[in-house]
Amino acid sequence: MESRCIVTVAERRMEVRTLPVPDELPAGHGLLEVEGVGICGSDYDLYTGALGRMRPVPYPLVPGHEVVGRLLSDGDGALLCGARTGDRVAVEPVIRCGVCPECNAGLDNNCRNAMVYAMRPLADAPGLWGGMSQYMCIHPRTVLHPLPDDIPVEDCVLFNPLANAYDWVCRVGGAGVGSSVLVLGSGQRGLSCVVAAREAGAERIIVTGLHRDAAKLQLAMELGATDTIDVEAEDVVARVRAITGGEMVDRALDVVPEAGQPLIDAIEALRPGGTLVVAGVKGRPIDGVPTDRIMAKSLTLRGVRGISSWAVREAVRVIASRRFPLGRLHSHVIGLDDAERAVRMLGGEIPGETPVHITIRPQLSRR
Amino acid sequence: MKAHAALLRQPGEFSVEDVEVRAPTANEVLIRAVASGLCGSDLHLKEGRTRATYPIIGGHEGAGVVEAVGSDVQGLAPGDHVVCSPIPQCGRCPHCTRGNPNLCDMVAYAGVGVWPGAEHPAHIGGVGVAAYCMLGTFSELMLVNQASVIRIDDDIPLDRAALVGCGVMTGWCSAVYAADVQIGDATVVVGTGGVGMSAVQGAAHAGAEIVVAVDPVESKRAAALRLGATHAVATVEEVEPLLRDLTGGRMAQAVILTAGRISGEMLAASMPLAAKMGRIVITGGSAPGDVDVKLNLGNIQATQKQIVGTLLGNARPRLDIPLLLRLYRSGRLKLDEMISTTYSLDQVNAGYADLEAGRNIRGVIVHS
Repeated sequence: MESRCIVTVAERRMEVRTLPVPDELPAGHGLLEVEGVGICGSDYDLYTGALGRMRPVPYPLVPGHEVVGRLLSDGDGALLCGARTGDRVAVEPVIRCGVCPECNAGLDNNCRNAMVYAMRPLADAPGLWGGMSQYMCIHPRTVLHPLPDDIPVEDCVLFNPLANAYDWVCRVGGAGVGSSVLVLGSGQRGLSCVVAAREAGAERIIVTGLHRDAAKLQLAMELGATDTIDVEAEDVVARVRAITGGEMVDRALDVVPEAGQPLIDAIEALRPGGTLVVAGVKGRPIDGVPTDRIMAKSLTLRGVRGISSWAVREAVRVIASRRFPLGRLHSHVIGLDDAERAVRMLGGEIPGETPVHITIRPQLSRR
Repeated sequence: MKAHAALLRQPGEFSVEDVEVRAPTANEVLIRAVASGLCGSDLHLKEGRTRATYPIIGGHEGAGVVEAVGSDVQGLAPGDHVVCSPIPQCGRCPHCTRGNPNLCDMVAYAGVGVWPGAEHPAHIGGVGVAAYCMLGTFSELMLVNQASVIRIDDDIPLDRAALVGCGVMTGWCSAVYAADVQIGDATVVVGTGGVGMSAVQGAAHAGAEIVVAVDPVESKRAAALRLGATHAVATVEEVEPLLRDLTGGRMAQAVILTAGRISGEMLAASMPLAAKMGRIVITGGSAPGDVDVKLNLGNIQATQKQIVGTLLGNARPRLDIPLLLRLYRSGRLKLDEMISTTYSLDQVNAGYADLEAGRNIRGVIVHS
């Protein structure tokens, strides 16, 4: 058997290759037929080399870490997750050791021995460790989440951004019934945060975006946001004050990459005792952060990394519930041969395209 | 490989026989056992109060030296000193991944005694033999999954380290985590065997101002006072007037039930000892038929008392076993004083007779 796949050989170099799928997989491993793989900002960072400046990237490798597919063979790990050969599953991108202090303290997304799909080199046989491939090898310690068969795969691959949102809004941010939540940023993560905040029972959900994000802000309202702010036309802090009658918000989530202003706005928009979740990759230190305001308002700052197993379960549950029009979140479905274009599109490099969430379907060559 | 093992062919007495232990594969570790504590949970197994498959090798509190490892085992090598965790940490189930590995879903196989998907760890006369808690520390050789094995420093005596694997960790953590004893609290520990004596130490270490030990055996009360209890009485009934006097009627923030078998009467009698918002922690086991409890519901409602159960004291074995051994090394956790008697494997039934007769804080089997 063979697998058509994408191989990222270096920064900004993706190739379509055909790799052999060995009859005999490594002991205990399973095999997945990939139905769809979502792409997110970290795929773009891997492509451009920005990720490589944060930690070593073992090129060449098969990318794609938001994977949904069907188990062709279950391996040793699937049984413990309640999955069997033939089942459709979401694949958790991080393979944790389960034995380090972080794993045992409930910081499973900070596992010190973590292996990550799409970050394992081709040199580790059989090399099929990413989702931009017709077939993917499943490590026995992988956590798999069974999914219903009758939900579009483009909705299913949203488990990854939705899981981020559950972690950031609920587990880390602590939002609950009656909370007021400010989400800074209206990309796929920001919109997913609206879903999680709704599910948590938040009373007020305010989402910010740029002027060109008008359609995304409209989508935020459809998903359950109560208010939106165009940061180019309005003063974020003044608008939050007006919307909340001066009470401000008790949770703020900065999911904006690069820009520093959302972090500063978040600190100003929080009420005393509030929690700020820092989830946007800035790639640099941010000047002008008013630390005295953090102190004076008794704020809590929380960082986030990756996704927890709990959050993936919640995400799969909300997808299976069909309670939200999640179909409105995926803007593009693209075949394997156009994967590079898809990644560049998500990074804003293709003029005229304004993607929210993109799914690559490795079984399609072009679409 | 042949090994001497104490097994139960059915509930009753242990018989010490030679079993054939197979070689480790994949994630398995072969351990040469050095010492095993005699814990009350094996008494439940011995007397048929635990659902289990027989024949089964007893023992779930042990330490030893790694003899061989399977091909996928990481971070363990022959010669390493290890303590076994009575509950494995699979690292994948909802409880493991949320930081509550004491509730790992694999605990469902404790009585089955065979890791799901694996062969029996041992055989006798062609019949597969299970191992209690997938450990079976009453065997000279143990074949266990890496998920149950925790490496420790070589300088800790293994007969002391063995106790930390279950009883000491359960008791200490029942006070520190499950009861969440805080500085200045009043605490009651009911039943001071190996688990209770560790709860006394944990409560004292957490800063409790008052630690009342309750045990009918005079020698255990004396030992509790040496290990950190401020008061010791024979019965639960004696605690109420004592606490009323000591706390000005506010009573105890934590009441920890560490007796070998918890009954409804014991729980009911403990309720008046708890303060408003106080926590009554059920650490000890009971029998499947123990379902009758009579409680003053109005009092629970009006005082916001909490009755909580705990497995292993809410411990995280991979963090807490090394922590407890560091505390032992620095003299803050007393283990030497907890060992009443050591036995050979052949004396296992005598050891349990002593446990039932109240003669032991902890008995330890030292393998020859």
